Amino acid sequence: MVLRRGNGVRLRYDACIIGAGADGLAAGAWLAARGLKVVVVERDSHAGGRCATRQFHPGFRASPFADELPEIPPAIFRALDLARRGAVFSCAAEPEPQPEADAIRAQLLARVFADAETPPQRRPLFAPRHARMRPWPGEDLAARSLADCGAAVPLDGGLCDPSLAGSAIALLAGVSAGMPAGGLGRLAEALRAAAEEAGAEISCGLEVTDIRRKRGRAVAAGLADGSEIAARAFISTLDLRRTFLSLFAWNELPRALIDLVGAFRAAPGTARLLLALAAPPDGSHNEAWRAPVRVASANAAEAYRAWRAGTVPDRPPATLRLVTAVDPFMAPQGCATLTVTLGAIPHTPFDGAWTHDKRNKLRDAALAIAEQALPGTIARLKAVEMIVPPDVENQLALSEGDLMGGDLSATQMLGFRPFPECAGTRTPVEGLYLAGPSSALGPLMTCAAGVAAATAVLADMDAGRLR
Amino acid sequence: MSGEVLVIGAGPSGLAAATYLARAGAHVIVLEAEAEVGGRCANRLGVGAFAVPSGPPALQALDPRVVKELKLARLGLAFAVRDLPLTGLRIDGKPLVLGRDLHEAHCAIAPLSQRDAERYGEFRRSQFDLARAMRAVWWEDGDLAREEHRRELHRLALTSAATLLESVFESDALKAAFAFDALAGGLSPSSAGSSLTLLWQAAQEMCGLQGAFAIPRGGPAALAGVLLKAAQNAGVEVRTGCKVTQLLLEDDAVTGAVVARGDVILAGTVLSSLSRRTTLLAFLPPGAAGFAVTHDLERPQPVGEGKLVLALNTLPAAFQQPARTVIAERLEDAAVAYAQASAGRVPSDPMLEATLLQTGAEPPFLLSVQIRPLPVEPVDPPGAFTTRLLQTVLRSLERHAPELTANVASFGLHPPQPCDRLTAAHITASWRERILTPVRGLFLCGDAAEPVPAVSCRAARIAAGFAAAEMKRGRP
Amino acid sequence: MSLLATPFHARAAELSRNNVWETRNGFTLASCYGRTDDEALAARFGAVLADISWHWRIEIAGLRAVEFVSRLFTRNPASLMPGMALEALWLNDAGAVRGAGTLARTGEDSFRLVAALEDADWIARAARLYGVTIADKTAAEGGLALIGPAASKVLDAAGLDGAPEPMSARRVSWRGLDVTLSRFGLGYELWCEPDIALIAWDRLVAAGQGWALRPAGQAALDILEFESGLMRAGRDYRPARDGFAPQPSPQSLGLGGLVDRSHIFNGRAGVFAGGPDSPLSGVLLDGEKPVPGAVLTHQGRALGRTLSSRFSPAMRCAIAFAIVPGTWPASGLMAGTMPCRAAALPFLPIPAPMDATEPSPAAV
Repeated sequence: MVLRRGNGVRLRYDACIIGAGADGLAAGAWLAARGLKVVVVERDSHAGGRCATRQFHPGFRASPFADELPEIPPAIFRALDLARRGAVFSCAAEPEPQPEADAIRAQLLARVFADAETPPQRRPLFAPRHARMRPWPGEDLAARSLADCGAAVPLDGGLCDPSLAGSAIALLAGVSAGMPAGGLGRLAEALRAAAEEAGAEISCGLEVTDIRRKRGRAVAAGLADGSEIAARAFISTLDLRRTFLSLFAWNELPRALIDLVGAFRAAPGTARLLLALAAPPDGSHNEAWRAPVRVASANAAEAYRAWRAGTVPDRPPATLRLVTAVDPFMAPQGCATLTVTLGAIPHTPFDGAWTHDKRNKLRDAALAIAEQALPGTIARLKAVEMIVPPDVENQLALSEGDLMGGDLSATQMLGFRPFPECAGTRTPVEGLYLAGPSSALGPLMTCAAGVAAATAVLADMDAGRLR
Repeated sequence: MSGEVLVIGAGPSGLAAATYLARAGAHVIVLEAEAEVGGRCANRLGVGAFAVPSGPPALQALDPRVVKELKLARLGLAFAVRDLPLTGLRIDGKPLVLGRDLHEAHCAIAPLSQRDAERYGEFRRSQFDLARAMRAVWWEDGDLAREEHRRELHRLALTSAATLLESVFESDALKAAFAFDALAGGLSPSSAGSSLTLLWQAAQEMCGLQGAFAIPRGGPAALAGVLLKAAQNAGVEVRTGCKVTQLLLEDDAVTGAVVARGDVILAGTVLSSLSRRTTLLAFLPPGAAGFAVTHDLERPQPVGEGKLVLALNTLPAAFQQPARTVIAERLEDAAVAYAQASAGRVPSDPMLEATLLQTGAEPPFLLSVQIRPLPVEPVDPPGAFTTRLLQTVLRSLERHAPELTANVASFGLHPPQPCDRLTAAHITASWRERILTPVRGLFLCGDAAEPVPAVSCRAARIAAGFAAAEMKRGRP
Repeated sequence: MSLLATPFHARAAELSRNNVWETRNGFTLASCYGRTDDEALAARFGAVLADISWHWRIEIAGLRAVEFVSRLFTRNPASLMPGMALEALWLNDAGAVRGAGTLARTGEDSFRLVAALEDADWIARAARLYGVTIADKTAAEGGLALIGPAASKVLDAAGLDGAPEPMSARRVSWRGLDVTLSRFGLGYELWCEPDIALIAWDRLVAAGQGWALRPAGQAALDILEFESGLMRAGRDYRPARDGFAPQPSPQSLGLGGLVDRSHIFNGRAGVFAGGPDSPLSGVLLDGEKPVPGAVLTHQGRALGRTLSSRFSPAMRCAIAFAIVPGTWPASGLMAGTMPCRAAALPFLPIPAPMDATEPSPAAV
């Protein structure tokens, strides 16, 4: 829904949510269901963010940014009635059981929600400036390395050097929930339906350019066409950099905050290839191809170092997914759709931006990997679409094309995500809440960060801290 | 209120029902298969030169309200004997006479067992009390008011007659005296619910006396004649020689009947005094009565009651007084006899109830013997069955009256007829459940609707009431 | 464990990874081949193949078959053309449900009944009254169910042309095999003789390779039926086995829609005396543990009970059937100790086969 407004018109809402991705729509549905007047503002012409299904070749569809997303917490899935709104997820691939990581994830969810529900106390005079924080679940993971845990390196952005201490944190990230029927776009439709039926307004095609404050509190969001949205609370689902560096002027926020944000490192980016095949490759009728297949060639440490240096690794860690093995309607009859996800791809190679040649080189490398795993792929190839980190940045407004919202290292996770004063949802700016990939729950679960921010908004409203 | 009503069967129930409906304003046609009316009361069983009814010679259950409302006394119904005492013949000793006078009964039982003599009065009083309370269920379309009666009824419904009698009495002679009555309706005396038949018999009333047996002057045929007169006076059309073969249905309502000749008689209401089995199985298209009902009715009761009438030249000493004489040695024999009859064999020691009738011509005496239990479908061919039955009964009678066989001038045998199964649930069911059928407009008004099969006309009166009410409501 | 194996048992034994079996109507069937959740969800993506040879089937034939069948079932089958079918109940004399099934007409005087629970004695006895023969065909043929959006595509790929219309059946000659194709339930059914059963299975699996066809066990079938709001005798309610018991009546089970009141059938008077229909509805629970037979309470007041319950992997919560007379409260409903809310059936859209003429869903 695109609103047309003239210059200078102010509209008043209880909550304004920036970004209509999974988090934004979930937050919008949550708040609207509890009676608030909510608007979700989206820059793109349609809602969904990285939950999209794209027809990249006539008759061939795939989700461009990822095939699967981290799990939506069951309570939120049920409360938003997503299955009955059309989002049916296939069974997650049989995972290596990691009960420790699952338990910690659940505890983190509980912890973030508990923090959100407690409005911050007014600091009494003469109290220490930074009160000691309660310990976070999973802190012992932050001391171990992945190699010690003996687990495989999770892909899709959780890439790190497994021998480094603290790399075990990456275990928490991105256990997938299975593929939705019809691609991730169905999830976006379901979330959108949930939000609209609850009464939220979704405005597409409007870009928020800045947040205006009065006496330190966020009171209005300025849009690209000059109009303003006034609201009592703002939830930003953009990543950390965009939230603090692009929505505010360079001299508006304290220097220390700007330094912290600047120091927040991005995770290794991923590149995706969407392949349209005229026929399923030989050997793909195996049961194994119903799940994502890791090409066991990568040396994760090497790849990580190559990424740090700004080069494309020789043998990037790759995951292949034969989408039509699970959902046969994503390609025309008799054809197949294959996706290749490459990890440790730099956003800006050391020798300049991504040129046509560099893309082709990466594409050939990926096709070679695919051919090795599934002989006959190249022969049956009809079309290829490639997405590299700059494309992600352009299309989703994510700094450095980083779907993870920030590196998953021990210093940037749990209580430190994105920084201690902002753990969870509340930012140092009053009236502004952070959801999205850079928040504590961002890379761990889908929709959870948005709902946590919504919970914080409700708690603060009940406590009278929001006008 | 206009409307055609058909009544199938011109026995006492059929005629009574027809009369009631005619008095309520309906146009009633009674269809009778035989040439003469009366059913079990008509003199159809030939004994030498005489003809006697094929049913019991004495009435016990004729509803006094029917007698009053249809003014049967004015039309000529009178009773020759009003209260037949129960006499149990003993091989060893005097016959045991249990009359209405409790003191005399006490004296009669005391030589056998003092304890039983004391208990007999109590037993009879409590039975008659409960039986009077049960009239609310068995005479009206009502329910038991008091909780203790309901409990008592429930207990009796689970008790067999044998258990009941065993628990009250100890002397064989006294228990055996009730052996014949315990087999009423074709129930085994050791089956649950058979004590209900004893209770039901105690609930009946003849000539103002509870639990009495009375013989009308002229025999049961007189009752049939009187009822026919009442029916004809009320304007009922009785057609004899019309055997119904089929009932016509439209959807689930009855529309008429087809007679053997092929004639079709249309009527919106049909009352049948025939058995439930005949009415619902033989007359209706298959399944019209309901599959479970049809399945239940498929097999008739294997055990029934037969009648043997002996024309005697001289009166045997044992049968001197007018009495209802029961010939049974022990109560246990009844269960054994029942088992034998269920298997299709003539029991070696059946229970007999003999009543003496005087003819006023030659030969002068008729001994009417009701025999229970007898197989309805015997394994022997009819000739062999008759012979064996005759031999068995004569042997039993000879034990008490020697030289009886020599005095027999002629005999007549009415073999047991198939009838509906009797269950405790049927005896305690409501009148609606017994009279109404799954087919709309079809009612049962004869033995099938009575709690215990007997010549009563009570079911006919109530069924006529139901039918009249439905006709007034109009068929939807 | 029983000794009766369906004609497809050999394939089930090969494919079963966890060796989990269950007995239905005397047959041994795979409860799941791998993970139940996987199989139940696969039916919403591509298609699943399940063994339904355990369904009780009888052939009703005779000169008076139409009359008999008309009297037995609660809907009028006289107007069915050969090859068409209808769903109906059969009741006892007092109007209580004895069974539910699909009745198909196979000829002028012959019918075929497919039901989940057998009631051979009753129907045989009733048929004797009309001189109609009942032949039990359960052991004489095997049945496969093909359920999912890709079901019609799999049939096409296998060479079975012309998928049947809903509630119809026809015999097809399939490259030398004689099979019957029908569409009675959630998807298609294929019925064939035991000798060629395994060949039929293999052909379908080969055709389904391009359509993500997976074998599904009985537990997954149950979940699909549950999510589609279909009740089954034996699992969700106990049908009457007495000739005269008045419960369960069709209205109390929400099956009043399968009863044609203008038709004459056994037990009709009881249905009219039964009262209005209490519709079957669903309950969504806020948890993952099924709650069969739990008491539904609203603010301390008991409203009714849930019938049976399953975990739905697509909805990630436990679901249950329940019948509550009157209206459902808007909030505050509890099933036992778990909060829940009412939902109209079906819980999820039926995974019906997508027609060949329908365009595939447009891209976002």
